[in-house]
Amino acid sequence: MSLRDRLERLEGAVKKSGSERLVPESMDWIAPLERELNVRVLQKENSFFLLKEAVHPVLNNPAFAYLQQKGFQTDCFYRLVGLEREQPLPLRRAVFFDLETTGLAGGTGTYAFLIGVGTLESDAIRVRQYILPDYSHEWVLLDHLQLLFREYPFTISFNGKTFDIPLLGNRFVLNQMENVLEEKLHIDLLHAARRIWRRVLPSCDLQQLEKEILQVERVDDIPGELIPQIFFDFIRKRDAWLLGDILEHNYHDIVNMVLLGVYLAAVAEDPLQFLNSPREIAALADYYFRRRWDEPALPLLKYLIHRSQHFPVRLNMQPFFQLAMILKRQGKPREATEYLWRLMKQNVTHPMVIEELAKFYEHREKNYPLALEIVERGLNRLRQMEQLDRGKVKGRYFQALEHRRQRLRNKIARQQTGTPRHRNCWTNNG
Amino acid sequence: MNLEQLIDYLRGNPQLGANITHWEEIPPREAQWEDFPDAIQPRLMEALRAKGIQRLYVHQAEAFRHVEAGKHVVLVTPTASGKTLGYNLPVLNTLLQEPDTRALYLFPTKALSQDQLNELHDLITRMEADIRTFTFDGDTPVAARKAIRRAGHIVITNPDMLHQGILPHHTIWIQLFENLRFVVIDEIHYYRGVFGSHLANLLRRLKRIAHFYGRRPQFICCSATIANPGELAGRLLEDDVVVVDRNGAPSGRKHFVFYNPPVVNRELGIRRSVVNETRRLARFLLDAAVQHIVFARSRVRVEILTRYLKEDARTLHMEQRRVRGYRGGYLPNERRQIEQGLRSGDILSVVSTNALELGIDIGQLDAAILAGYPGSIASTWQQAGRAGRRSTTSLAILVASSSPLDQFIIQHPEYFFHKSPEMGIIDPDNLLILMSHLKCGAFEIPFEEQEEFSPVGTAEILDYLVDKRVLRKTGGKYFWMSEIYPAEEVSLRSASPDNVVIVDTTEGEQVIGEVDLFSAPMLVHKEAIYLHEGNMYHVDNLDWDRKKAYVHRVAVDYFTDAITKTTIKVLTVDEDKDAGMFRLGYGEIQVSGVTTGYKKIKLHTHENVGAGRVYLPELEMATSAAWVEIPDALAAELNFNENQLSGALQATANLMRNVAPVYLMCDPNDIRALPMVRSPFSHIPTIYLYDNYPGGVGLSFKFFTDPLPIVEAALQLVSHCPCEAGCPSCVGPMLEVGTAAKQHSLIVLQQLTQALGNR
Repeated sequence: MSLRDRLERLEGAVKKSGSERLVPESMDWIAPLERELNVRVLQKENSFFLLKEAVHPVLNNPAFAYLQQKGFQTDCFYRLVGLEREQPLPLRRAVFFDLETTGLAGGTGTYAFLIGVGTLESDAIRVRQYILPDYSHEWVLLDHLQLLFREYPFTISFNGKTFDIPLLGNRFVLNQMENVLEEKLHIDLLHAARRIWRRVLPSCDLQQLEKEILQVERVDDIPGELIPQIFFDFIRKRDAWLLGDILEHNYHDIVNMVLLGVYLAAVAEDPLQFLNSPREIAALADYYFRRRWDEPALPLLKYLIHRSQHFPVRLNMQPFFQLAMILKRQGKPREATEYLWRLMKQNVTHPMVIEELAKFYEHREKNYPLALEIVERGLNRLRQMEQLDRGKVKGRYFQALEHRRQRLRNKIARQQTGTPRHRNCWTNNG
Repeated sequence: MNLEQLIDYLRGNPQLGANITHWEEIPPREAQWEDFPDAIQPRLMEALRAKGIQRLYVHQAEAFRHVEAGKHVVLVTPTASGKTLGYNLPVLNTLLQEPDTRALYLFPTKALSQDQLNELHDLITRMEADIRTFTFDGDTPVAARKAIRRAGHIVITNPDMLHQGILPHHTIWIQLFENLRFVVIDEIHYYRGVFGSHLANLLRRLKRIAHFYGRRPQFICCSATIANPGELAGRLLEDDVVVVDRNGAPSGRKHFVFYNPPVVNRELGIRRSVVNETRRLARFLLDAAVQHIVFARSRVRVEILTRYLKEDARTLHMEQRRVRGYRGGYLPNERRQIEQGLRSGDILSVVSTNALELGIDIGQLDAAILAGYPGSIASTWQQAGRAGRRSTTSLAILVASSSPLDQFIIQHPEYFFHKSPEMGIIDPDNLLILMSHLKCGAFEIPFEEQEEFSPVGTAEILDYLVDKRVLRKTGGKYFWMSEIYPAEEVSLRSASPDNVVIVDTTEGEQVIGEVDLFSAPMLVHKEAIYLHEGNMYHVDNLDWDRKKAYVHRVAVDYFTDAITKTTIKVLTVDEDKDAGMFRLGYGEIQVSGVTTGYKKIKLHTHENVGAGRVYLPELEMATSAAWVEIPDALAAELNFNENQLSGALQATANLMRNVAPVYLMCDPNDIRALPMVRSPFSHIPTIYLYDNYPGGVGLSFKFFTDPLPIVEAALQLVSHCPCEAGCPSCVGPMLEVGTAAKQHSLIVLQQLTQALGNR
């Protein structure tokens, strides 16, 4: 009995699957492919890969036009993409890229068979797609990619930090090549997008963003999860249309990613021009505030406060409170207090607001009765919340406020009797 | 009363004495020392001296020398003999001199890794060396993983993590692989059967990846005492391995007592329960304040015994917190606390599953009671080894259950004490296992056309996988061509690819056990009475698609006996040989079994009180088997009628299967025996012994090459069993084999022993 028969039988106990004889390898398929898909063959030694190039004109795109005027220079984009250090990011020196892979599992057995690359021209997006014709040619494709990446000082992707970058890194290591991406600056648009739209959109994947933000609708697009299998079919059958579908899908990924990047950069440069909903502006302000970038946060907060009467209460607290905290940081406590009082007047008595106000009156103004009144108000509010069974998360505020109340009461008592601390024994004795 | 006095008391107690089948006194042993070899770095030597280690045991020094000479080493030593230092010494010594080198430690469980980490940390801190040591397993926080990959000098992990988490991602472990110098594998006797066959392939993958990065790591292995540590290590590593087995560690006098609970029902061969007898013995230890450990075979038993012993502690006016249970499922903190309590002496009695069998540091105790034979001689020694300080006397008691394996061991102490017969057997070339690792290997690095992963079959299997469209062959290489992450589909430990889980619905839903797929139709068909831990359960439903059996507890006066039709088809005869009038064969078989119904049988009277039908699919498995053909002439000569012959064959098959685990070091479930009065293949009476795993793992082949010890042991088991005419502890239930089976199987086995002995 042959080994093959034994395997068939052993596997039969586990699962059954059909077998199909393969078409012998030949190169006849290349010429039609070149014609139908308009790709070029690039050869080195005995290996080759395919390249498809296109230029995508950009029309009627305000963000693009805006950046075009600035020569695609960006001065504030670094903040939105999460870099620590101030640095200009000239978008024409960036290479946008997106991979199509043989799976999503990651690890050394997942291959990138299509690397789509986008770069900015003065009035268009240039798209280059590098296609792996078969596994054994991987090195020549990577070799070429290495040269390309070296020409650009930084790369931009969508979700590349966790997926595309490590995956390409694996490919370089496996082909015993230097990983050019390792030290290169990389910008992940997914993270930037999340900073603005995490709470605004149901999800922040590229499909959602291009629909909601770029207002682009794809037609006849293949679902991403089918792509690996279509590629496997392609290398067995060599039908041009199989590859064509994937190229089309990837082309839109690239173009839309570049447009998203351009839009985000425009937002970073002039948020009030390019963001329109208060929730987006509040999200961006919140991000700057948390990163302690007060300067870009201020105009956004002021804008929000200016228009605040149109917002629901939930949105209201954030700009007032954050503006107050910035003013406090800048050594303007009295002005800060004004904004907090404006919240109190609207009946926004969140414990954080109470706490800040009480601190101000207790420590700066030494106005203990007023501080106590504020604390009492906050505690009443918390008790109300508790009765509505929404107070579960507020436990720590409760404790802190009660503690503060006790201290204030003691201070008031001492003020009234005119006795400083630790003097009680003397008076008693005397 | 101290331990010595207690031992005297136990010895003199006539009530207990009647149940003691053997009392072995192992004399104390002096330490054999050797000075630190010159090659050891001064810093390391200082750190060891600071810990109170002035010299090495001879086995530690010998292992060190072989490792220094570049050899793979397997260190064979009993519990508490300082084997950890045996591998830490050469590894740390090299790391001190070459700070770029890396080492990978493999332990079979996570708990052991943690313990190992603490030990290494202690030495490294004392040396004030920059040697970073980390455990890497499922519990490692994601945030820490990157640092471990980049900077860990010693990475401690387990085979499952290596298989799924490290090897398929070797490119991000580049710092480890480019500098990999040592691989330490502890407890290699654990890696036998299916698990061992997987490990051998996992090591093939590891070596292949190391080779890709230009390294050829050196292996240091440790094993408990088994018959073939060198052979097992050699098969795992597929390279020459030096065996170091001259133990230099001292030990105090040890008393090892075999205790067989008295028979309460001779007909059924039922003895008093292990749990109650263990409790009785442990109470003596509690009363004498002798620190001890009780090993129980299941988690439930641990809980029951812990409760009993706490009660006993109370009646003895002792604090109940001095008795503790210990098992998987306890929180790590709780476990650390118990381990600490044992070391400090706060805890007097601990009841544990085999979780404490392996090298977790709990110090040495005075006594150990093993409630039931742990399944292998090596495990028994490891559990018993928990008792035994280096200088003072210790006591270990093995309490046997009614199971045939326990009964065989308890009545044949000579197998246990004088010739450890059990062998770690693996088959790295089991086709299914090999194929699953070839898939993983292709995922990791494409295979070259001429590459040899396994000595046979690499290219054929790779081509087969190309046909199945899992791989793509192009440019002289095989590439992974699938979206699947293959390591995720391969479990290293499961004995059979699928198990049926048994869910008790008496109170909520609780998983109480599992049975392998091929036994499930017999044991847990709908309406069956399933016996587990002495309790009876009624099977309400067998959900075949989800592989779950739902049961609830009952108290009924009957049990069920499945009507099963099992047939064997011989597919190939790979080898055969004559032994007197018998003929032995080895090859591949197809086993098919179908359960069609069941009988209800009243307890004690064994009346047939009902029956039912079962509708379940027929199961098929291709595996390897050895068989013994019994000539018609013998049956004629013995004048057996058809029924008697069938009973004798069944009894003989049961006996051989019952003792086989002693030699093959396998779970009783791993091997099956099936008699056929008229084998459709040979047309004469035949007994088949087959591996209960698709493709086989080498167990039946071992029987084919060396059948005599198993046949002899089967003969011993039946001839020494005190039952009248057969019982479940020897030939099987009388109902199944008939009243004459004990006597008839004795004759068959005598003939067979003689024939094999004369070869």
